[in-house]
Amino acid sequence: MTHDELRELSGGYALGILDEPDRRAFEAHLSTCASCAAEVRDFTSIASALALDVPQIDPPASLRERVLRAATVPASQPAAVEPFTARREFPEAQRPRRESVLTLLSAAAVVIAFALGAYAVSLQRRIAVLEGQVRAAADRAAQSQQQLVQLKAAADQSTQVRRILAAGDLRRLDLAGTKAAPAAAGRAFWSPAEGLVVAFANLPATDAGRVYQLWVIPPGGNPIDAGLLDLQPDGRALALARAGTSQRVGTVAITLEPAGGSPVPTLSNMIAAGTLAN
Amino acid sequence: MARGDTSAVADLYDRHARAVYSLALRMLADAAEAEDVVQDVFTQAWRQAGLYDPARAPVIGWLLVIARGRTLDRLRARRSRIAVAGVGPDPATVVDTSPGPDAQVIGGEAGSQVRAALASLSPPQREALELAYYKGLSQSDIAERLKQPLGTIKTRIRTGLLKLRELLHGSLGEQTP
Repeated sequence: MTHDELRELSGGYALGILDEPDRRAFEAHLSTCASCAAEVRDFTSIASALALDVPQIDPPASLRERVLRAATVPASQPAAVEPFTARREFPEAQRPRRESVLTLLSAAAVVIAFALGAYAVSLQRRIAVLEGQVRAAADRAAQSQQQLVQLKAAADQSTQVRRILAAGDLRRLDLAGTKAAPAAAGRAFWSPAEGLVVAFANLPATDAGRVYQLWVIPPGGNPIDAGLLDLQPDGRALALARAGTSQRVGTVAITLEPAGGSPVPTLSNMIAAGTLAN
Repeated sequence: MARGDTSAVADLYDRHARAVYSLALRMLADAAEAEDVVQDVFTQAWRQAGLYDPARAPVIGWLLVIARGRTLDRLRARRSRIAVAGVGPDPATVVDTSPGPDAQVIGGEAGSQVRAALASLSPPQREALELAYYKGLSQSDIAERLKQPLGTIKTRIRTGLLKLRELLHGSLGEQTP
């Protein structure tokens, strides 16, 4: 709703007759709009003018005794307000007689608008605080979850590497850098039963949007995508061949590929390669 | 709660019971229920006296707000009983809104200012405000009853109150709320 549409509700709100969705919308608006809050205060007093416009009829005399008896019976639950003491008398008898109608009626505004306004503001604050706490807790939970996933992946990887290095059928092959990266070097450890792990050093930093991709080429076969390298800032990388890609190894190579990797190696971008000696 | 200090509440009753009773009677059109409202109002006022700050405003406005709230509770309960039973006249229509011949209106000067201000409203504005204030009908109920679009009713209520504010401020130049 626009501000004008919301302000249109101020009279109905002061009279307590808004339909429920309008009431909620206007109350939310009230805590942020001083001019609408002032209008509600005024209208609450003004509306009470209608109370002064009714025919004045004396209540039956018997009512006085009944009301005084009922009113002054102590409440069964102690009221959560200050005691009503003699000092706290209702003082309009001492007031100057030329009181304005608005002053006369403004008690309503003071009591109601103040209570509503303060309540709305305090609710708003509590909601903001709780929302912040919920968001922070959710962030922490997501962070912990992510850390857990990372730790699990690292633990899995290290278990896998240990099994490869401990395998009885372990074989080793060295990879040499191509002209594109003459300093690059790698050493691969392969167990046909357990898998393939390759350690690289002196890999050149990649441009944004480029990644190193590991390939396993079986003897006489086509290159198999064995996964992407996680390049460290110091030019090192430890690559574990993707499961199921290293049953037969002839050559191991890495190429530079667009982010996400390629289905077949871009041979002109070969960075390092090595072939298993028979 | 201080015991034995019944003179304050008796004083309060003597000064304001008539206004409270008259409002409840106007809204309910039922003397027995109006008496119950008076009892409710003064009991609540006595128990919540600590919420009322006499330094800020006289007590009559406060009492009338309590009275209207208690009376609307009764009107709404009545309406829902009738809705459930599906019989009987709508109590919101049975109140005789014309003042009786010997009716007196509250507060001399204040009362006459208020009457003059209300009389200057257009009849549709006044009708909408009366259904809102005395019957506590929701804006959509008022729209239905008067067979007017909801937006028209919202505007009538707000412009009626704006006009009353202008008139009551205007006639009371020395007032600083």
